[in-house]
Amino acid sequence: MQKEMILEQEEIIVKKRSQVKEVWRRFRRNRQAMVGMVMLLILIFAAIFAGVIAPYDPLQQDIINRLQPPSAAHIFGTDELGRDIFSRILYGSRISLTVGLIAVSISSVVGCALGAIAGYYGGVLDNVIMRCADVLMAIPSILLNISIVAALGTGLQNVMIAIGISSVPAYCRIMRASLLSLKDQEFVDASRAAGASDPYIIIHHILPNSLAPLIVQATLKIGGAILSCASMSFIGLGIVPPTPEWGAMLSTGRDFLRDAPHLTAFPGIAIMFAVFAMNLMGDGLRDALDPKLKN
Amino acid sequence: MLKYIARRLLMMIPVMLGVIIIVFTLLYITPGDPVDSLLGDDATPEMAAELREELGLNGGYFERLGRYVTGLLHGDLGIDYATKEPVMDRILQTFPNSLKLAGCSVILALVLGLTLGIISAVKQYSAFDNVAMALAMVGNAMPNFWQGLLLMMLFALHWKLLPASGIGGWEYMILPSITIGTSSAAAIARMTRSSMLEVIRQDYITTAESKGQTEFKIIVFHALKNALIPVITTVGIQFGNLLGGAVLTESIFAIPGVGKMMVDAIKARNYPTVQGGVLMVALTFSLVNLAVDILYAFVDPRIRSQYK
Amino acid sequence: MRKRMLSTLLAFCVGLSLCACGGGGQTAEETTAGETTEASSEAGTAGVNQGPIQAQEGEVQSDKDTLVVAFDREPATLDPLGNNVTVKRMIEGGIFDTLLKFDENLQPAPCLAESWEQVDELTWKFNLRKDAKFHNGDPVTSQDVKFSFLRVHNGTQGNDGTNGFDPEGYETPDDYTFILKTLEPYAFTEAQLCNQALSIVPEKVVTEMGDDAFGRAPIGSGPYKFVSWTAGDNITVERNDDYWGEKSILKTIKFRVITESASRTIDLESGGIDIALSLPTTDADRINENPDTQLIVSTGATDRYIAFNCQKEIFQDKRVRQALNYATDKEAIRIVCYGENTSEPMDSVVPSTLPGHTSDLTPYDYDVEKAKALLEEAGYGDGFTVEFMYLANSTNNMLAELLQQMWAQVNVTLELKPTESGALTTALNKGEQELCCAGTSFAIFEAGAGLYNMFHSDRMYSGSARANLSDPEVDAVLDEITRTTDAEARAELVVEAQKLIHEDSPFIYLAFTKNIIGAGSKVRGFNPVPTAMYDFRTVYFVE
Repeated sequence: MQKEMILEQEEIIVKKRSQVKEVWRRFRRNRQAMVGMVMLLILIFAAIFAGVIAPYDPLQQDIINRLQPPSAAHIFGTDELGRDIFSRILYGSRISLTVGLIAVSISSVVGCALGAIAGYYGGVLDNVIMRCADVLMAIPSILLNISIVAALGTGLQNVMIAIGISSVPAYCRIMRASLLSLKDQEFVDASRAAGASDPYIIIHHILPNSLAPLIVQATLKIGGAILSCASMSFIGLGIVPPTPEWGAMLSTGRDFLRDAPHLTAFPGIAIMFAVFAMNLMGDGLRDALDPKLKN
Repeated sequence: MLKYIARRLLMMIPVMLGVIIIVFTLLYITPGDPVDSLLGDDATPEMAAELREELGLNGGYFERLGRYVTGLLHGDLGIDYATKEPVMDRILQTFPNSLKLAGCSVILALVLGLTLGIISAVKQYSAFDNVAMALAMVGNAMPNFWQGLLLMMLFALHWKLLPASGIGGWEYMILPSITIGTSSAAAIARMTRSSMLEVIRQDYITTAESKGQTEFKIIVFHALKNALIPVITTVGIQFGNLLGGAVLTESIFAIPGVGKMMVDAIKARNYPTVQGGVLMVALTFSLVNLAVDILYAFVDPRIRSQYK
Repeated sequence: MRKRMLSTLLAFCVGLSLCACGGGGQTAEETTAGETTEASSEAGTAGVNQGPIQAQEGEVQSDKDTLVVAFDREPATLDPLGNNVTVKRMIEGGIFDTLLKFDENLQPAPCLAESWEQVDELTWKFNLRKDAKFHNGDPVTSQDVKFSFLRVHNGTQGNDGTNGFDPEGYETPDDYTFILKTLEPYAFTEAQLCNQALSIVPEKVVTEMGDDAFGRAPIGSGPYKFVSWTAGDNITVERNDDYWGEKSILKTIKFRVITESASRTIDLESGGIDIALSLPTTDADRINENPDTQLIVSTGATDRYIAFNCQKEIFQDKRVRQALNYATDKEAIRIVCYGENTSEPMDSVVPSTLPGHTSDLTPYDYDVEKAKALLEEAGYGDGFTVEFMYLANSTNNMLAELLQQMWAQVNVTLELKPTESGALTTALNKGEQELCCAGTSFAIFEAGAGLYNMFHSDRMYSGSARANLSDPEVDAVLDEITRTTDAEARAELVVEAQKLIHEDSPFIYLAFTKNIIGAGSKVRGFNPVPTAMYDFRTVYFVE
């Protein structure tokens, strides 16, 4: 019995590997997805090597040279306090990626856990969790974000928590749906018969099989989180200055929209770039992970 | 079917109660006293205490929550702290504007999204497909307030084609609708495209094709119908979200909508207005979702059978 | 000569009114906001309109008779009882009359009171005009005046319009005579009567409608009748054809709320609105150069400053406050945050346009070495960490970032705490902050009353006293000012108070901000009055 299990597991692992290969093959053939990936790699590169690439200290002010248009010295120009916008954009990629990743991690971990519990145990627990999810869904996310940040105080950390919380229900639903379709399948039954605990089954059997929609959702939501963060900055509930966050830069720049458009243009394009990359990736993954679209 | 609707309506009660509790709790723990926003700078502590009493701000968490819920059960949403109008009146003043904006942008998103999606699906991997999808995604990736200001500069200031801000005729809704609509259009286009691709590959389409029907008819009668379900879902969620969530667009274009009202109210700690507003928005959102689910039944007979 | 004129002016000034505008909140946040306020006066930038916009020769009046005025924040009510918000008071000024009214030279002039006299030290007698009617046709009587005054006394909103008056002392010998008594000899009686906070409301109507309903559909005796209020969008008023005084040229005035300043400017330039109040400083130059628009800039009575919370341990030491004052490059902040041409250097807490202002104070010039020495002396040579709490908006963010960098040079670590309005006001009223920035508008042009609210220890933790200063010497002078009815003597006391306050260094003076108004190129007759209570009666359009 025990031996058989091990064999079966090995089989699954082998199967998994070939599955990953297959997905990668399809992903690679999707031109948009590849473009998205290259863009994301550029972003990650910028974030990691910001300290090396950036020509200036992103916080160093130079009042005399404020609001300079793009030039050889400052290729993206300088901002309202004379700081180099290019350097700030580079450092900003760290903030934006962090916000995106952490906010999405919060919502996916919490959402998946709750969704798994709801789907696996069913009954009253399911009902309670799903009604709570409905409650969060029913409040427009920007209002929820504002209320949470107002309650907790401004700052990067609280913005990430707020954005994370408001997208918990989506993961909760996805996870629950795939759990419901998987939990009565044979291999789960087999594992349970072999004495595996509930968390073990969820983590080792169900999660890997419901990963596809979760990954797609997470990728797409990273872009959404970056945009939400920008919105929060607009309302004045974003990060604490002088952190070079793109949304805050864009939001401050709107006062100079007409006379120094480069203050809004570059952070705006940077946000678009990041969201665009994540969306392309997400779509590509969706296509690649969906066996129905196999050509 | 009626039974199904009744059950869904009943299920809304705990959800609305949850909304009330969440909003109430968030406001309760939020620092800041509404009295400080209401009184002039020359107010004395006695005046503050008196006003606090008058507004029912004394008492603990449960006492105040209980009082609010009791009021609600009597159909009373409370009085706005600042304007002293019933909260219901304030919502009725702002809600139509949000409804109009949400409606316009959803229609725009539908028209734009379906068109782009259908053409892209039929001509998959063509130049049009790539360009259209890229444009849709650009629209999706642009921060709303930036897009709104740029549109305003272009159409109102540069070309003087449309009014810059405010409410009035339908022309006032065009720019805000584009601002919000493009991101939904992108989502709808993407969905239409992938649903249609899926359907197009299925057998019955091939059958229909072999029967000699024209390409157009195939798309309309078979493919599009099935593609509609996820699109309706998206539209439903977007519409619901826009009612209270178009905050930035409303403030850029000076549209007195319910979203802007609530954000202002949050800032002023105008509790009844925040609570009433969120409750109304959540209720509408749930009703729209119900409507969407019912709509499914008409689109897809398979789903209809499930309701019985 | 200038000094003499200023001292004469002093007699006609009223209390301080704090205003400013932040996000979408209510008045209390105003003191701490960092954006523009309305208040203007004679001085201004070269090449820009400073006085009334006069018609050029050959211009023909157009028959357009609706004026659209845009501003940034909707008042919650138009009941004069509510607190002082500049725009609210301006709109009320059209709907209601007051007993007296400032004339062009900021002297109290007859309004509803045809004539008045001071009977004795405490008693004033007013003769009301007999041809004034409320918009519903009822005559304005002394009963209505008494009712309006008592309403302010009994109001619970912190309206200080009747400060110093005796609530028991109002008398109405006949329908057109009104007698007022002050509790003590009171310096600001006449000026206070010019304040829109003491607008005369119809007793009958208010009693019938109730306060709340009245505030949303007010009836007064002023030159404009209230027509409609579309919540969040506009308040519309119409010419009162039965007005006893000068009637409006235009028939309709529509006050539009456009919160986003960028949108307000674009709407002005695209012709959607005719007059835009509180334009952002960054837009001033473009509005001036644009042939479709004209810029009106005038020095207001508005201070911009950083306030140390003098009750916090670290700032109880005067040397620390002075050191940080030296460590701050005020001119750089002024230019970046408030605009080189749209603000003036602030050399005293009393705005340069006010009587009693002195330029003789020794400024705390930017001097890092001196700052370091003072900190060393106070025992903070190694620096310290302090938290700066401010209303989160882009102007204040810039200020905070600049300050952070400047103070780093004297080893002071500035932690920034941008806060949204609701939480900020409460925290400041409790004195929780160590440091905050604020703007104070002496909108009704009285230095003494203003200083009292800002610095008297009685006012500690109130909305106007952000420094929470407690200095018995300052208190004594401020008390003296309130009792001094002689204008010249009072001006001298104001100078003395400024000196004491300056030495205490509770504030870092940043700028006197000017008021920036944009108008369409066809607008004529707009008069940027010093009180910021713009009167639109004289405004018209040309072809």
